[in-house]
Amino acid sequence: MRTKDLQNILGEMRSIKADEGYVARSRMLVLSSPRLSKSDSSVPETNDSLSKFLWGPVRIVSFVTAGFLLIFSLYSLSQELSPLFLPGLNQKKITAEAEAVDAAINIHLSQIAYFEKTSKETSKILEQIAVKQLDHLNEIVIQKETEEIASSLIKTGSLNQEIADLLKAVSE
Amino acid sequence: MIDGRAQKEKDLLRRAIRGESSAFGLLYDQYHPKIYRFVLLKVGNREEAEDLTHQIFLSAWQHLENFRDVGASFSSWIYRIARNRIIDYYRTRKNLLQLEMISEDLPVIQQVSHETATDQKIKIEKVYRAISSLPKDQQDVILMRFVEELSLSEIAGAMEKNQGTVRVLQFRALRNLKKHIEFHED
Repeated sequence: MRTKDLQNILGEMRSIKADEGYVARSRMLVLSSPRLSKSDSSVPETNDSLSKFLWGPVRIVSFVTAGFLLIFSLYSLSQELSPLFLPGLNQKKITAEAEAVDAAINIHLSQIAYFEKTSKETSKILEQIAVKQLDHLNEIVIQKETEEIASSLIKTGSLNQEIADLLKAVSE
Repeated sequence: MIDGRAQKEKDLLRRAIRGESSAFGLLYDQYHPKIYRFVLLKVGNREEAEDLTHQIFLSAWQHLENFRDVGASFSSWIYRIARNRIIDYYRTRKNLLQLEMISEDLPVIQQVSHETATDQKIKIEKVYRAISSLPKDQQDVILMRFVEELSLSEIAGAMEKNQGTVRVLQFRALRNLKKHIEFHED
């Protein structure tokens, strides 16, 4: 088929026309529907639900309301997530906990100091006991030696008497 | 003549944008037959074509201020609305025009003038079947160029493509149409 023939046949399709009754009805409905312009303040009376939604003032109010809701939601969310309100990050609580830990550390430190002191004194005493040259300064040791000497003196005294008696006997 | 017609159309548009329904009514009378025909040839069903064409003009009237922002010719603008509405129709109805669905009593052919000879009607039916086998863009170019007699620039504006692309689409569409018709010749 030649291009020209094809174009002629396509041109024949221009004879296709719509029903006149339908055209008249559609025209009337279209022209009687209100324009969806920004300056139009009337409520649209049309079956086109999309047109209703796109109507200017309603759309503006919807967007403004949505904007307010969004701002309010963001504000509430920021308050919820704020470090001041998170229990784990409460400033006062953190300070109190730190002070308690500090106090516990101090207790332990004082205990450590006490034990250090007593251990030093104990080691001194043990040293004194261990070193015999210092025995003469030990009161307990002195007392003990005194008693030993006394008993030994008593024993010596009685022994001397016995020797004296024997010598006398011999001399007689 | 063309300049005068274009100037008259601009004047009508100016008045219609200001809100004069009578001015838009004249534009409706001028473009309704073309848009209806274009839609009918795309969807292949009279009732659907009437409903879609009504929606297209309703949308154009209610959103005429958008045309002022776009700055294209009114013809390109309203064909663009028509193409978009048809795409939505296909998407929702999944009613792609398929060769198997076309019966002997083709609704489109029934609407061809009674004065057209029967053998001519048969040829029209063959061409119409061939058009329906084309990709969507090629269909649009064929219908807008050879049925509705739009210029290349108007078609480019309607399809949001450049004129070079439209020329290529036209060349391919005509080639494919001829191939299809010759292949199905008796």
